Amino acid sequence: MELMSRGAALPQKKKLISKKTMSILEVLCVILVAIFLFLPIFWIVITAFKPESEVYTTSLFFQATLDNFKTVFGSAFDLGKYYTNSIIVVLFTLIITIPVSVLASYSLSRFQMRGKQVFMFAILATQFIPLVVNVIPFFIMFRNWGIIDTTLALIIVNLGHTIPYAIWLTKGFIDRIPVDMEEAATIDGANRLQVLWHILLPLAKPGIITATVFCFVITWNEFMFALVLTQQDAVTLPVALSFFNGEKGVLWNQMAAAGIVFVLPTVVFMLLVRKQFILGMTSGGVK
Amino acid sequence: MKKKLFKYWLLAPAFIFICGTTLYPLMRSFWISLHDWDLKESAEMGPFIGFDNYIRAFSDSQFWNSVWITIIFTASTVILTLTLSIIVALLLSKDKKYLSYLRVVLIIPFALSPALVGFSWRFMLNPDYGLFDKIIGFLIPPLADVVWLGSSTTAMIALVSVVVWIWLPFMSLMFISGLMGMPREVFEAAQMDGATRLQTLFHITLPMLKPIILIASILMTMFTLKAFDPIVTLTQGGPGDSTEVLNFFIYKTGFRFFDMGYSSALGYILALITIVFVIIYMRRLVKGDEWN
Repeated sequence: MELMSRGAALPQKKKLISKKTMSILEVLCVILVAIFLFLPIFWIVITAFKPESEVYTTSLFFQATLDNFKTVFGSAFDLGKYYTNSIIVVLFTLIITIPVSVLASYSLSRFQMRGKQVFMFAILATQFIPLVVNVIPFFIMFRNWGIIDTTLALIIVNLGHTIPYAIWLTKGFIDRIPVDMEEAATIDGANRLQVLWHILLPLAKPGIITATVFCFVITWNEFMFALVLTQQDAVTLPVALSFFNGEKGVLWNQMAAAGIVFVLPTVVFMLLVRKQFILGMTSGGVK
Repeated sequence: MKKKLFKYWLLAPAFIFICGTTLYPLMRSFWISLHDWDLKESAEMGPFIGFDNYIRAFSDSQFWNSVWITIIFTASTVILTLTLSIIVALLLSKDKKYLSYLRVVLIIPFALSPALVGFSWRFMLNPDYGLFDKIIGFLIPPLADVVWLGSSTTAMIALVSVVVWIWLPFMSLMFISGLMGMPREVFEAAQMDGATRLQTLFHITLPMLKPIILIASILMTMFTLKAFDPIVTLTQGGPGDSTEVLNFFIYKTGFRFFDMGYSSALGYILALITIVFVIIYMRRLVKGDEWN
């Protein structure tokens, strides 16, 4: 017995060493991944605080300044206007998308209906079709109606994108909520709408939050519709970034400053609902 | 009777919105694709020409060039993103404190606007003062003088790197949640049986990840075929037409040359390609084929 254990000790020591080198290697790889993912973000942040004289160097030591932020919000660039546009588009898109999709997913989840599967598949299938195909008829329609370059146009187009996603996400969540409580409430004399409001909504809240954040992010970052359908008045933030291509070349420090202010809300929201978001995305997909 | 209609009342608003904002425009653009329509010449739709726009695509060398570029771009992006994100997930899914912090901030790159990322890449690849350009030049001196957005191959590499960067965190998080949901007993049993790390990886971990790998491939292929913002902000399809993927080619045909009929037809061809891909993947998913 003793002999055996002594014999086994030697290779174990070897194994221990290789285990140590493995874990060092792993830590190195993790650091490499972190650098790859966060160096670009770090660099954008740094650039936003650089004075113009330092932008076109790779120096790390400079007098940090808030001038870039002041400039982009100043009258020459007027980031505030584009910010307002983006907020209007996102706000109205969400105000319409979320209630409409929650009602629809409740109906699709709880009731038998003919053609339900076809409907669900159809709204998924529309998402396979490249968005350009959607934009062409809208562009022509809006031109005829005279609403090109308005936030209204952007809201309409965005709805076609967000409602299908929101239905898929919230339906997956509602499917997993047991019906017992709703049945009990119905027996107690609550009507359908009361059940929906008082019982289902609180339970479905994580799903609704996930859908809201997801729709927020895709609408906030939406680029193609805004590029095609706006020119000046209704330009939203992603397209506004291209306005930093001036005669003197690209004003990177100002673009970085505008970029940071632009992405701040999505980053904050994503961090807040991260767990639910990943859960919602993966379980919705795997099922 | 009222009760019976209730479910339809709930569904009605969504149905109306989807018809108005998705189905109608899709049918409308299909109708447009059957017409010859140059918006520069007339605001009215031109003559009906049947499937001529689709036939035209097949003899259009620019279209084929674009198809070829799309295949290269999509294949390399999907394969790279999936491979890297599985590796990242394997690295980050361990039970360690510092890794859990990293998992929290991993979502940040995904929340950034792809347009901003595209612009930033252009800044960082600048041959005179770009950070990436300097780092690559320092690590691999022979590449110091490369103008990244100046030649076809390097511009494509730059474009792929942007899209990989954008999707890597999200895909990694999908795999991480899959890996962390796996029962521990299986791995313990494998260790008891003396399986090496590589054996465990190839015979246990990857087969168990298969459903997520398939879903991730479907999503990633779809997202890559739909990629638009990084192309506009980073390369504009250039130099020449070397990074002009189909999605961008359609945009250019429609909104730079205003050839509405042809652009719509191209859009439907791209939609068809996407759907074929999705069906191939879906069948694998349903049948549960061997994943190689």
